Amino acid sequence: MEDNKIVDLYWARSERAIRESDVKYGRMLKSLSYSLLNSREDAEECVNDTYLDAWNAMPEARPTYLGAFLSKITRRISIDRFRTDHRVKRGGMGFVMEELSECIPSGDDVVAQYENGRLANALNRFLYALPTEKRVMFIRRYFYSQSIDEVARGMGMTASKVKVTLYRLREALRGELEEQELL
Amino acid sequence: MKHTKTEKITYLFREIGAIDDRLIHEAATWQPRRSAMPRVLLVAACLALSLALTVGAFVMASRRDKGEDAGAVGTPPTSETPASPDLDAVLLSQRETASYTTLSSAEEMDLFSGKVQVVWQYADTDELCVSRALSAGEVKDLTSQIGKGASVGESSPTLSCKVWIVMGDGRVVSPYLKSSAGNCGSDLFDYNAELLPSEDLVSCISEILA
Repeated sequence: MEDNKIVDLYWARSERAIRESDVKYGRMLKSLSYSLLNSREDAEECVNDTYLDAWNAMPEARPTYLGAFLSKITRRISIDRFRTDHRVKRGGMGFVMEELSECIPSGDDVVAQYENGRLANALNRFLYALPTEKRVMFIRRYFYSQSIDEVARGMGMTASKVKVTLYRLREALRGELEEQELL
Repeated sequence: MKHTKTEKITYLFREIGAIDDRLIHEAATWQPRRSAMPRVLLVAACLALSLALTVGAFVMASRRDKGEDAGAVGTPPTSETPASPDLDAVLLSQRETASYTTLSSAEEMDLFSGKVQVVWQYADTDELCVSRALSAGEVKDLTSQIGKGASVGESSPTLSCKVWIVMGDGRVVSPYLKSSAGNCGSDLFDYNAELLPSEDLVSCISEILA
């Protein structure tokens, strides 16, 4: 079913909206959550919570890209669950965040600027300036938290090429964040 | 210091979740290129596409010159055809005034200037028209009206101008679109009108340009 029709179901307060969302996106959402939490039970709970959040968000929200809308919710819920449970497991979020530490400019005099939206804007600018392939790679690794092998398979390239490209992208992002004095 | 860096990493990781929906959708659906088509087929496909685009552009230009509805060839106006939006009339009346500055292309538009501005483009030119920066009160009045107009129904009207509100922080919305996270872009995106701007919104823009 097309996204706009599923969204229409949410707006019409039809429970079929949840079923159709699960049919179309359930697997992707569970995979996203599992890649962050490394627990099937937790992933299923987070996805169920996602549908509840989406139900409450509509009407009001009318997303053009329902998959992206739901993915953002799942990711946020999964990150919150990770922090609440204080579990640090090997794989998943731990590895990804370890890589992202390279994007944080060093220096004692760096002042953290938690200005609402500035960092997200900077990330959008950075990503839109990238060639499509690199942008997709970045998002699959750091938004969807796919493993290097999964990213490589999905992009039709070797794992080593993915690693090198991601390393260069992290360096480039770090330069951007330094230049804009963010983080 | 280690604790602070951990917080920053967590913050960065979390903020990656706030990037544009369009980017997330692209990453989810992107497929690597298949093996190249035979050269002859590729050239033939390109020629066919070029021809189709040229003919299409010519037909669209002819229809625009004649003032016909681009979506309904040979269909006379009916009582159900949406009337020409008032915002169009306001912007057309501004065409010969000095109430705005111009940019030669969208690439010159700074979407991160920190200023909220009304930006529009007449249908017959690539130039952009940019209003002065809006005051806080004007921003509040204008944004409160986004998404409040009447729906255009089945047929999207032919507009003389594309209109955007540049929010100054990378976000771009249009008064012709329903208010939603999915209708907030990060460039001067093309669109089909979903609704007619409300009278209050048109008044607001009219005062801004006065």
